[in-house]
Amino acid sequence: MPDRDGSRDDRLRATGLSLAGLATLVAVSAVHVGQGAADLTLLDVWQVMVGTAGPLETGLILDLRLPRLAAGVLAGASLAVAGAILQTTTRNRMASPATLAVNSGAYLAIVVVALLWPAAPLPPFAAAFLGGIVAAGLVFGTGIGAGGSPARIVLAGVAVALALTSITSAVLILNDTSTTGLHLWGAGSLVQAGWDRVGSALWPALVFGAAAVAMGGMLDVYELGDTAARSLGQPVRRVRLAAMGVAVLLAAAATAVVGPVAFVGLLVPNLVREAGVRSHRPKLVTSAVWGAVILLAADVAARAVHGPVREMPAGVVTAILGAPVLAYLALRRTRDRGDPRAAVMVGPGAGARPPYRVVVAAIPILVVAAVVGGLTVGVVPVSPIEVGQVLLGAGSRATRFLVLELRASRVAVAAAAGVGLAASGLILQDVLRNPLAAPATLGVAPAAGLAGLGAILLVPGIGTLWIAVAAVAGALASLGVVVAATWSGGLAPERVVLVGISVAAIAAAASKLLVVTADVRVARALVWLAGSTYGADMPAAKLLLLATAILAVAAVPLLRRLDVIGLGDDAAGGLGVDVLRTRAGALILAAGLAGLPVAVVGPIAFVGILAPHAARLLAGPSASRRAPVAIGLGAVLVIVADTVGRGLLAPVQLPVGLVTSLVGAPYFGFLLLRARGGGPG
Amino acid sequence: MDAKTRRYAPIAILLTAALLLPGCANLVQDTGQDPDDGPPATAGASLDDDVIRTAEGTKQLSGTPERIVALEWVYVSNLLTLGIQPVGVADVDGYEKWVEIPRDLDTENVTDVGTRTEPSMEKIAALEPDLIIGPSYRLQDKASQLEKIAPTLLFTSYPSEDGPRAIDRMEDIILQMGDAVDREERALQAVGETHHRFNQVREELHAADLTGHRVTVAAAFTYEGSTVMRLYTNNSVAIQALEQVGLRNAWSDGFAKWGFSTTGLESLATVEDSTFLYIAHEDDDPFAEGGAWADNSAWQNLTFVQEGRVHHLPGDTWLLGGPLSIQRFVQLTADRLMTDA
Repeated sequence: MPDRDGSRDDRLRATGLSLAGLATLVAVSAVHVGQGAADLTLLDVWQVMVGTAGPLETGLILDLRLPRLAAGVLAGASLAVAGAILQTTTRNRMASPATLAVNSGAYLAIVVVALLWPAAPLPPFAAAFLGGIVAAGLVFGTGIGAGGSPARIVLAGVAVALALTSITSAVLILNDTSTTGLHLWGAGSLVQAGWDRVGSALWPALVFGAAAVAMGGMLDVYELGDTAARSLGQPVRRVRLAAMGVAVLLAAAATAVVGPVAFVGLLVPNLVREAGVRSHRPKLVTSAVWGAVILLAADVAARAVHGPVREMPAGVVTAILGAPVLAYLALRRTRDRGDPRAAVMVGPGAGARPPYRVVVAAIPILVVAAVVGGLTVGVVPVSPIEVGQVLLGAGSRATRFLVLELRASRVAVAAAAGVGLAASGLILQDVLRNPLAAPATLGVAPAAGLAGLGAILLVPGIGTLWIAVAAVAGALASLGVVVAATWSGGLAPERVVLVGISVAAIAAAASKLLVVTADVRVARALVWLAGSTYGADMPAAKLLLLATAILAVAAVPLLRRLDVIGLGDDAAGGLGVDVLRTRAGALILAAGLAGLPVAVVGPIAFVGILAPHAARLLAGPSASRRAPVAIGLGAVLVIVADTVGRGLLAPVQLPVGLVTSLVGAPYFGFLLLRARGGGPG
Repeated sequence: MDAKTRRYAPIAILLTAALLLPGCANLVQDTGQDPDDGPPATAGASLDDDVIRTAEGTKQLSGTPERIVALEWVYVSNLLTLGIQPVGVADVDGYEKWVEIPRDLDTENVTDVGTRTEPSMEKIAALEPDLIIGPSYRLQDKASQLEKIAPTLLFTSYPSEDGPRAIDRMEDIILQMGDAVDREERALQAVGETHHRFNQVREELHAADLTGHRVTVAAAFTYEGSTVMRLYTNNSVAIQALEQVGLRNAWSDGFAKWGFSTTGLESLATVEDSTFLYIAHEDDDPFAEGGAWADNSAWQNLTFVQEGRVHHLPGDTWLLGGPLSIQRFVQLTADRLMTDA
């Protein structure tokens, strides 16, 4: 129990902070209210308050500007409180509504309800709440709970968020009337036209906010640890559930009003804690005040930079500012849980696996089957026999064109992407000793995407080849940042993963920024950003296959060395392996192998995690033995995903990146479940 | 072993580069200028029978195409204006919903080839077309693949800031299309009729003392559960057409790439002295009674709302189309304005 003097200090500090926060809030609000397309000054606001303003000014202030201000305050405060609660209940400073996928779930629910049942009697808040609960359930229901390491929970959250965002994208693609690619609300926009949204979320936010503060004492006890808390008589499970329920409700309220906004819930509680406020009641109140300040400040900044006429979502600003803070937090962790020598995933023993020879023989057969399947499926039916004929040089001209030009290019690109991503994931998991490391979660893929997008915008009419070069450069740069930031810690797995997630978040936010400040040139990139083989043609396919093959071959000698490193850094050094150089070289190759597919098809998630894992189940932990199996499975996975995406709703095509997320996420959850008992990391 | 690896990786990278560099020649499309502009358009028709001006440069076409696939709605409406039914269209349902002109698309006999963002190459190929027409800003990377299916013309309706005027580009596109399908006469006729209509409307408005009248043109719809409003800018075809008939745009937001600014309700406060014309479908009208913005007191107190200078145009008035859509828009606008006067 904190001693009485301590808690008094706490409260003093908190009071001081809160008052400072309130003062700042007033100042920021004054600026915020003054921003907008119409020419209104603070004098006008004053006149509205005393009732001497004209009807238009009154309407603008009362029904447009004040709701926006209220939305910022409500959402910012709710997100900060939700984040504080989540961080306590999961004992994880990186937890927040966004990193635990609550925001994505809430947003998906809102979009689905708006599209499928627009006349539903449900207020938007209710849909958001249901979505948030489902998402939180997915993340925690995989059993990670409070026992898992912070990195693993955050990764689970990132993966679930990816999957849910993909579903949202799929739904929007299928109902798209606008092809300019503007997804403002999905980026977290404070714009309000009236009090409807704020009104519907106000009571839940107030009630549950009060509930949260009331629970402050219980959370203090909870924070002592499960055993200590239980010994003091607390029903730990129930408290955890209740507190998390409150957190999800608050996050849902915020999302219902402004869409998904990231990082407020992460930043603010951590900053408040850094300022020395420990006990919960004061911490929650202070967080609420500063949460409102931060979100409003982000909105002010966005409009100051971009102008008040064309909307710049505040969510983009919070993401760009917040992601580096996440990285900073990641680096500040002094304790690295877990034994860095241990292999992380415990797979079946050698006896339970099929013989290696069988596996290695089966893989090419699977790949061929997938390829033939991919060539068979499409809008125009082509039977496997006809495919065979075409491959042997016969068949009608139309069928040959269809199979060899149109479909083959997409299947080839899918295969190459699968190989590259699987190889990259294999290397990353091995070097970083983390089963959840992958190009998508470590920021390699999003950074490559950002670089390619930037290239398209900077150089009008740029050729596909140079987009590829830019993408690989982006991948290398992001990996370089991750490595540089964690070098001094010896590339400790947990830190690498967390920094990688921050890089991914920054890249994603910057991409969103570029898309939102929309331009005709962006139209060309939108399909590619979704992760689609649509842009592939035979020259691109051939180049990608060739480049991937070269890099994969270059990786082969490294794999043996990685196996040796798996015995432990010291053991490896003793055997003459330069650990650091091997890791660095491997990471560079991993960046190239991941960057190339992104250049051609955009970011595709989950392949880099799933293929190496499945390979481990079939072929054991040795990297060099796993490699051919992993890349084969990677190719099969992406080819099948592309085939499904092309064939399911023809002639409408779902991007392959979407399908891999939809398919990959449940399997990923299954993996997390299995890893639950499997040791540290 | 270690030395070998150190040699391996750089060699692999060098090899990759060496093999990719020759590909540069084929794949770099940088023409050194904004491809949206293409070669400069000349006013009027310099019609060389088989040479078409597109966004990618000039193109030789021979013969008279009969089976044509159109991958953006403006080309569909242009084909119908020229008296041709396309065999394939991207997003037929969308076209029927958002575009209305006095020529009907034969929906019974046209094939939907997928979305406008990602039209299905297979569906297009299966139709065995002899001409494909599409937007360059979306399909420039697919051009080579499309060429393997049929001769492909890629245009853009959105010139850059220092390019030609959008309305001149619109006319140029239908003239080029007329060339391509050997209906030059009809194309010239369509352009001529448009000018004639503009003259007529200009006189009508002049007679009603509406010349120089300021208007604001908007489109509104719901997306992602929120209301989206677009205000058309001076570089859009819609506004340039209205200027031809003597009206003026009250909305000034500089150059907008697509010809409109996506903005919120508050922006209307800066144009409240104008007449507000907005396009929306009846079941998705934010300004009509019960609509998302109708109850907002800011909206209700705008001068043009108070003074009844708000006009609703049908949701299928398409402002990003060809001469027939623009004629319809201009006529509807003039009709509405004259009910006020």
